[in-house]
Amino acid sequence: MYLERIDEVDDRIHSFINVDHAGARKAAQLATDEIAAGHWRGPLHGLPFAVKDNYDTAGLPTTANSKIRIDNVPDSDAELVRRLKTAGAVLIGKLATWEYGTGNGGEYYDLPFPTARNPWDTERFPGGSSTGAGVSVAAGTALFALGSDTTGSVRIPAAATGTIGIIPTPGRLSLDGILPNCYSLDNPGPFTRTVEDSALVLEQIADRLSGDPRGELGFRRAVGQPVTGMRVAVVTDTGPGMSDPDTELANGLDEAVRKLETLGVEVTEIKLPVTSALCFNVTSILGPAESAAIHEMELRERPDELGYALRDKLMLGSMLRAVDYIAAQRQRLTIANAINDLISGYDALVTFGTLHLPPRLGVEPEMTAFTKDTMLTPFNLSAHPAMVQCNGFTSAGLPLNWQIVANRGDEASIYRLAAAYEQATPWHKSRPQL
Amino acid sequence: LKEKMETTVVTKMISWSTAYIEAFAKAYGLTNLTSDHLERMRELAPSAARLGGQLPRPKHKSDVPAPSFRAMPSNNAKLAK
Repeated sequence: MYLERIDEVDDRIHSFINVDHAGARKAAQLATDEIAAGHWRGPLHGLPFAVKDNYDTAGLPTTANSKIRIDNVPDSDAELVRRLKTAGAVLIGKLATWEYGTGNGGEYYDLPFPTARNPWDTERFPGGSSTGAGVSVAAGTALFALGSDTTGSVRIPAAATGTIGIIPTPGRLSLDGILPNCYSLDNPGPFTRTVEDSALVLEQIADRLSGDPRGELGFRRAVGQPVTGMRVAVVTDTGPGMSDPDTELANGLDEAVRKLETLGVEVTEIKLPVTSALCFNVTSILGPAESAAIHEMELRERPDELGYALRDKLMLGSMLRAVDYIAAQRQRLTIANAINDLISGYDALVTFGTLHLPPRLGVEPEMTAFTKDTMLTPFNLSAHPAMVQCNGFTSAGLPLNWQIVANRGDEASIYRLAAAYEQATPWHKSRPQL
Repeated sequence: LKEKMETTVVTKMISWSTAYIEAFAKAYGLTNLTSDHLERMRELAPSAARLGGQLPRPKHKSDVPAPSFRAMPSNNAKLAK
């Protein structure tokens, strides 16, 4: 069914870089046979998924949308792919991304594969860098997908496509076999249509953290639990140096918070102890410096084969001083401790995800502002789990979004709140018309 | 949070010369960059200085970087008598 859907719509949305028709059919048949024989592996058995093309996949090209890796065929699967295959899930292909997961939000015409398009309006951008992951789940070309996030690359596409995108507490998901972008911030995350699906996938692939209670991780169990009495901090002030949110997004957050109150949640308006602008400053040093270190040989030996966005980043990173990099890492810890102190007084925090609506393709200022003006980066720096969820639509049919953040190790509280909100609202039932 | 930080670095926005960028690239092994790449690198150079210069520094020397490695005693460690 999903392969037919890809054939039907993907030439309009470009969610996939590579579809493994034969491999997917073979795996699906195996799953069918196993289930018929009574060997059910669990709730993901036979379900189709796809991964961003920076995840290694055995025998399947892993290009990261780069000319340099166009012939790269890994021998083994990334650890998260391996876990999903072991659970019986069916890999159907590799999803669109910016080159090496890098970009400033623009549209790049010097990469091997075309830019993915937003299924809610194909003249608009679906967010990056996990561009294909959000698009495929929203458009129904994959049931669920895996992406990766450094400063928003899971949650930005989720915001643009009306899907559920979550990054867990760093360390909960293995980075083994995922092309690194920034060692100190990279964090994988799943995309799904519903909160329960997200809990199901995350629970299947997650590791336990020291300090986790014994027994199951409890993500699925949290779905459907009452939220009465939960204490939630709300941040509507985006702070100095950051844009104001678009009116529809501001109204969407306000209405979603009111909805939580009707569900019995205790809401307190607060301000973040750091500005998003400062956080952006810190990541503007960490990201390029670490990428330049990771991909040093590409810049030295094959700079002409790099796309201009990645080459710009590597050249910038090569010129940053070690002194400034260490200052940024010191600043990161100060920021992380301040945010942690704040959140630890609550069960969760809700705020904006992106501050703008999905931008028009080809309108560079809109596109870069969509990627840059967000409330996402503070929680990459602070190492808190964070989810972006659709909380409505504009009159033109574009998805709105909000972000739910919880204490480290407490993804269950995110699932509890997000599921209660989903159950009380109709937004997850909407589908793009392609 | 402001109490824990101070802004200490001030940079002057200067134009970087082509000769300087060429020397920098050569010194660090970036010898395959074309003249167009080097020109772009020259354009980016002030941003590299500005990004570092505008970042507030923590006040105390004891404020360590986030990924500082701290050795923990091994489970096999023998307790001191």
